[in-house]
Amino acid sequence: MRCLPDQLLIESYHKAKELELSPDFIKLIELEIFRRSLSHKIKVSS
Amino acid sequence: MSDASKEVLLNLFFVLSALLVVPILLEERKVSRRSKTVLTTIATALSIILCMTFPVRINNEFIYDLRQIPIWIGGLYGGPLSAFFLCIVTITYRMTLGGTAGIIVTTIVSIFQAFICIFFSKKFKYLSSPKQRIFWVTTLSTFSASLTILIGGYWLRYEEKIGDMVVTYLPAQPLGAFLASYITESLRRNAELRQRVIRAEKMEVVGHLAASISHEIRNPLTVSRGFMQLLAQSKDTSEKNKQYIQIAIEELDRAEAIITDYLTFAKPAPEREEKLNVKTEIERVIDVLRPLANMSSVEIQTTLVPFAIKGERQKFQQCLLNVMKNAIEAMPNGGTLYVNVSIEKDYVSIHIADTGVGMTKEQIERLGEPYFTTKGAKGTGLGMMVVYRIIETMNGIISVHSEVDKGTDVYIYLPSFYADQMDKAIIQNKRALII
Repeated sequence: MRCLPDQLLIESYHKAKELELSPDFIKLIELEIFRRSLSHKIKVSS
Repeated sequence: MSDASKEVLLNLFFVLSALLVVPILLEERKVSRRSKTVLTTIATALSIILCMTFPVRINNEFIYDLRQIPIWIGGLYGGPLSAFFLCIVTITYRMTLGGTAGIIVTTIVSIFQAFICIFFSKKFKYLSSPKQRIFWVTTLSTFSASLTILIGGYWLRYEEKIGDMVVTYLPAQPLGAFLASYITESLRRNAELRQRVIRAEKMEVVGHLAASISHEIRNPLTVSRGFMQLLAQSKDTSEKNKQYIQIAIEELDRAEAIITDYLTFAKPAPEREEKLNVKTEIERVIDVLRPLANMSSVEIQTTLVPFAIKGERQKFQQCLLNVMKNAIEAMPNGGTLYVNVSIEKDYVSIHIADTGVGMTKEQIERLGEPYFTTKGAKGTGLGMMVVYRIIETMNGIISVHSEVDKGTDVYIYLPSFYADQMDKAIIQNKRALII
């Protein structure tokens, strides 16, 4: 997941939420988003 | 100290040295049971030769030694082959020393000892307590000493020596035998305890390892699965590729299921205990295994009775699955898998038998040890360990009997649900009385 570009990571997050994929998976993406300090992007868009 | 006493002690030293040297030398080395028996038999044979070379001289006419003790110990603990070998060594060496009467007595008594050891050693090994084994070695030594006196004194007409024999030889031999068998039993017990401690330590290490590794493996699996699902939902993905992705997802699920199953040993306490119908659970497991059985041309024969037990469904199924899967895998060229359920007192007995390749005694002894497998690279060495751990947490007993090229029988005894309930009721009644 670390190789994934920021934009694609955010996109994957929204897609996973939309498709109601495993909560563990969504949590792991969230963790990576927080690690990259991109949490404002998902908060703004949601 | 008289010379005779010194000689008795010297004889005893030879006997005990033979028993102590091999276990001490092989303590830290991994040597097969057969090699151990061979080395112990050779050491015992040496002690017999030394006992005969440095005998106890009561007077010029009466000489004895404690050679019968190593024959009993070596023959009874080592088995028929050791007994036969020790008998031959004793008679041959005695012949080189000369003296017709001595040779006759030695030949008769040694053959008698070998005969008893050959027919009794198997039963002797399975005697339930060390005390019983010590008793038998001492009793048989007393008997062989009496036989020696009887043959030497009465039959060969050495009546004038009987007094000396009864006073010196008769008490020395059983006492020496008692000491030798007591030490043998202590050594065996210590070795068993050491093995158990090593096994428990291994279990603990594996438990900790599994608990810490499971998360590390689960996370990449979850991420891979998530992205596979995203890919499957994409418009750009063709139908064919979607099928591939589905297979990949299923395999990832299987990998995660395996991790969950093997994590059982990291959490030994049952979490969601419930009443389980043994028949239903076995049937479910058989349904899962049927494709594997069909693939190996294995026929499944069952005699199932709906007895109830208490435990965690998933873990119990995992336990049955591991045992039955092993049984099927032991029959690569086909065979029959028998699953029988019966009740014995307060225990539900599940008997799983196969007609497969079987196992050696050494393999049975190591069964349940982490990473020990009979399947080579195909096995993980964790399946039977999980089984042992689950049965243990369910307060059950597992017993395995196997013969190479004939098959394996696994008996699982689990407390019946009703017996368990009755125990609880009794405890509650007792509490009520105390209140």
